[in-house]
Amino acid sequence: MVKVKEKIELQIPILAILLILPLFTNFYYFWLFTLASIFASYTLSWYLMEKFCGRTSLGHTLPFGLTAYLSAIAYFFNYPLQLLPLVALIVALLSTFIFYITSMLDRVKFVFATFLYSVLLWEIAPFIVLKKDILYGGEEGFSIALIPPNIIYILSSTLLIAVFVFTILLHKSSLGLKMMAVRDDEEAALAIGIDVKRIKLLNSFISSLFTSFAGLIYILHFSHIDPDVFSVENAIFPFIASVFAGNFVTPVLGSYLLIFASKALNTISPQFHLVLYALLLIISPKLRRISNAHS
Amino acid sequence: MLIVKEVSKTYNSHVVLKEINLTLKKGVLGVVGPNGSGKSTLLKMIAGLEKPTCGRILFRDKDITKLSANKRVELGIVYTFQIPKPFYRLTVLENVAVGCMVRDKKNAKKRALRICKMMGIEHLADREAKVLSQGELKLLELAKVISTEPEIILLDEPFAALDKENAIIVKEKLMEFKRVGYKMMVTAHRFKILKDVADKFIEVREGRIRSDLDVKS
Repeated sequence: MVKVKEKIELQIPILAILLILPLFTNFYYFWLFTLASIFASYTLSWYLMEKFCGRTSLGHTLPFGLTAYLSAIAYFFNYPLQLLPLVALIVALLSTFIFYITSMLDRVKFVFATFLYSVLLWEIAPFIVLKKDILYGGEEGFSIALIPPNIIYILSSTLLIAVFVFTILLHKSSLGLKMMAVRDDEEAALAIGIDVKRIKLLNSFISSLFTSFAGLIYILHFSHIDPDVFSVENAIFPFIASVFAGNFVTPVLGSYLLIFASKALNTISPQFHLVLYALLLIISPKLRRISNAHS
Repeated sequence: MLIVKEVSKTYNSHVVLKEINLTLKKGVLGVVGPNGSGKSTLLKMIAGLEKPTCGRILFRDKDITKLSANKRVELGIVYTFQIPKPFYRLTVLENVAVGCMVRDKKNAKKRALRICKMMGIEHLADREAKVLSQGELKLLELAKVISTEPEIILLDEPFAALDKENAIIVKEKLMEFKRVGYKMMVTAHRFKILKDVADKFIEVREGRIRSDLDVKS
């Protein structure tokens, strides 16, 4: 118990520094830090499924990208910005259903099936075209109203804190313990009285809900969305960002590092950050083994 | 009272169990038979981990054939695996606490610690299950089972893969369970290993119950 407390006491200052630091930077870094915090929420929401139910999803662009996409489309049809969280909730429910059904598959098939969702959405998105007076959508995507960066910063920071606190509370709760039992052995969990289906459903919902809200803040941050939100790069992002995962702040740190490293590498050559992604993918099994052993 | 009525199990036209009938009113029922005779399948069907192809399973006069395994645990029927299946990345205490949560979430860890003490594994409480020896894993399985406060315990080969020393410890625990009043069904390859534990025996061979004898007779 003391050990857990010590670990959490170390993690909170790291998170606080990451969230306070942008206040002392210029506009560009403020924007970049905000983007990193959105991706950190995305990764941590994804990690809720990985850590607690042992399911590695490569399809979290479904709640993330679809919320962003549908929010932009809803805005196009004069849906007020204040009601966009409702879009996030609907997408979260849809994603919960899809992840839950997919979780009936074994773990390896789950990875590939969720990856298929990402690729399908990536392929389908360019065909979404809305016509008013001009052609709107397609490869170009959709836009929404500009929101002041400080509001986005507050929203993204609040979401990250919420996901982080929730993750810690879940880890200490009986629900979290049941989820981790399901993660370790579904049949043994069932045999000891755990309602495995209900646990999987809850886990899918929690992970999808936070991811959807990350997607919502993502569209508000960019004020624009295009089919690339469903890209393979975004699909594998949380997996790569959490290769050092041992506690709950490491996926957050990983996301920040990945965002900043990507921006730095892209100054050398466009898309050069994909080399880093590929390298991290290659060494990820070893890194995960090491970080799991240390945790 | 547990009643198994005309239960059969078929896998891809291969008959594993055929029209099994048995009743467990009290005490310990030993289920013996060679490898692949269907002993584990029988226990798993009673636990709800396998579905019978036909037949019915009744508990306290209620038909539980279609009830899920977790609901059966709530009713008081619990199963232990032949090869221990702990939650490897959880500690021993957490493993037991998960079972305690079936009845009461609030004091699960306190009760889990009490069960660990009872089973003689309290010194392992903070250790992850993945580092336990085979003997310790068997004791953990028994602790997990007790944690659900069962009425009927289904023990699948509790002595499998144990050395003599650990087999004696497990046997003592089963005798303790018997004294406490748990109803049990215990499987084993041979009659000899169960003779001190079971009150009654059945032999499963080629998918059928071949004998029904009283060990004291």
